[in-house]
Amino acid sequence: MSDNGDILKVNNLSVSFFTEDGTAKAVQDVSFAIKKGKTFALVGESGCGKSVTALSIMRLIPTPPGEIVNGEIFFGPRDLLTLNKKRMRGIRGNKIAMVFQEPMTSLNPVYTIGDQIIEAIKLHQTKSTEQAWADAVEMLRRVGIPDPQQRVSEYPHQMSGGMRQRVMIAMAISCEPSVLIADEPTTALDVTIQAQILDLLDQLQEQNQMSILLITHDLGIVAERADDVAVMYASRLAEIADAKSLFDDPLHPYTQGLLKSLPRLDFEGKRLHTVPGNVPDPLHFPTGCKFHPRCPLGCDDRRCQTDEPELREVRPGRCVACWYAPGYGR
Amino acid sequence: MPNTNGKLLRVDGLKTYFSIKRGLLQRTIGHIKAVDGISFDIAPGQTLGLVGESGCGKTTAARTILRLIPATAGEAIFDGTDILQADKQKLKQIRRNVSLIFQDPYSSLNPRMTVGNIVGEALKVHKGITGAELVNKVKMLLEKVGLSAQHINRYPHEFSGGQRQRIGVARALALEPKLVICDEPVSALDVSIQSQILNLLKDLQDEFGLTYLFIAHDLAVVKFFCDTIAVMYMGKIVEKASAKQIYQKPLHPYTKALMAAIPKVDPAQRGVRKAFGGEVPSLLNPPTGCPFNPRCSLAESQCLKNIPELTESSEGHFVACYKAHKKEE
Repeated sequence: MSDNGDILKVNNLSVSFFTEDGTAKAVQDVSFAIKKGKTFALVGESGCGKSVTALSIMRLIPTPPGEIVNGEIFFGPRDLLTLNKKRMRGIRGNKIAMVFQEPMTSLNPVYTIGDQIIEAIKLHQTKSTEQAWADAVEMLRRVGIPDPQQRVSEYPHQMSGGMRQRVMIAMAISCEPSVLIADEPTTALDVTIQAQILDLLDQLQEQNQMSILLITHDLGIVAERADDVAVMYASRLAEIADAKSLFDDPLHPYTQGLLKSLPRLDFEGKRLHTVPGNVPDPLHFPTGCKFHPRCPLGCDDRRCQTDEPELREVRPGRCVACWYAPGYGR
Repeated sequence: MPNTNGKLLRVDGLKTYFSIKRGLLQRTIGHIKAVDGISFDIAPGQTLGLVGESGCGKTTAARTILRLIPATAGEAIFDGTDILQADKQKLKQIRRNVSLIFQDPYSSLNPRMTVGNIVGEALKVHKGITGAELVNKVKMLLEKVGLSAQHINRYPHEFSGGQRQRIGVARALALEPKLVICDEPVSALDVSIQSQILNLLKDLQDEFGLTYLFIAHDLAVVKFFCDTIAVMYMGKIVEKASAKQIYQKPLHPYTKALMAAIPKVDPAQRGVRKAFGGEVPSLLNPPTGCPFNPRCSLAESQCLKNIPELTESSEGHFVACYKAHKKEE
């Protein structure tokens, strides 16, 4: 199944949460592939299912209430969803690692930075504590923390937000993973620090030939960093494209609306373009195309109201799920 | 109207210090200078943007102006009265005219109150409006901010983030204030919702002639929204000018760095952005001289010793940097 340089391939993934208030179909029929050494961005607004997709790859969906109801996730020749717990533990944090959004809450406050980094190293590699500790210092040096010798024995509260995110990254790369999942890695940080962290990820990607799954809501970051992009809306992928095509010629009305509504530094007008309406709640998704109530094209279209468009390839490398997209075929 | 040069709000030399207490006797061993002598003014109907990274003192400044935090020094003249010296009665009067929109629409609405009570509370307290009149007034406000009058008996959890922020806006407008302080009103919202709220605030400004003090960290949002911009760094204003001036010709190296750090929404411009090093120093242990010197590539000996004053560089364009002025000459 591992063809033409794809390192991770998600096929028809569906995840549901069975709650007291009903079934929330958080992810529906999502498919994409991440190329070796490239950055794949998954963009979307809160509640669209992007983090649930990431957690599914790590097999970290809390069950119950969540359950992966369908799909395959190929990492090399193996389908991660069929692995037993023990074999999954051998991959999680080792071959596929994750950086979380909140550097303030993702680190354990009662252990030193070093203790937390060597935990992963000792779990996956046969190394003595001294060796692992030396590795931890080396990792901190690589993520640009000054005086790593000294900082390694400090506690998380002694560090700033940017430093803690560097520690999180050091932890994630300590076993040299081939895929790094970064879930909103800079959302909690200031803009100047955000730029530093993104540069660091670039640099590490180049050194290790690592693939990055970048999960974000910030189209600016996508434009700067991603090779390929999938836009997610209300549990489904709306569009997949390489970054340049997506920004030059967005095909889905949601992508178009998002790009137009961003306040930009070179914007001179009086009013911003808006996408009307609200992000739908996963327990009460609209029928048909989930974007139709907010869509300038499909809000009055019978077909959009009743039939959900699937993701189709409309030209080489461009997939979109919209009845109105050129070449989609109604 | 007894006004100061036609300005609605004039803040002069405002300082907010928090004392650091240590030891058994809780002796004060130093101060955190969260806001350290800032001055600005806003004309009626205008918007001033206060910009900076987290911890720079922008929110503390706003709260001090509202007297939610006691000021250490300085004055804040609103409509002819110094808010910081006003007695209880005067203060109540002022607070009727100054309202606040908060950042987080999830924690700033009481989950046990209906929308009607949230929006109507100030009307009851300040104006004594009750009964059917109150209900009508609240319904009108809800429709003004793009919600439906039927929402009046619902609770906050029944609304999405953007709708909650609209409730917050309705609450802020209930007393027909002159000045609205918006503390990062869109930074907790989704991208497609941000532009809705920004447009709403603009429309309301046009309709009611509102004056805004707009606090934000996102320069692109601020550029769209503000007439004048003040950039804060470690409790001080380092640059202040009209939005146009600042974006066309930023003078302070920090402003330049902030602007350069914004990702461009255009893959063709990839790699143009330059990251700049260092972090905001701790306020517990500030650097001597210019607070920006540890991160500044232009810093020279006088920057390490003296703190530059905010001075006018060209008409209406103020900057606190020795090097920025030199270049001008």
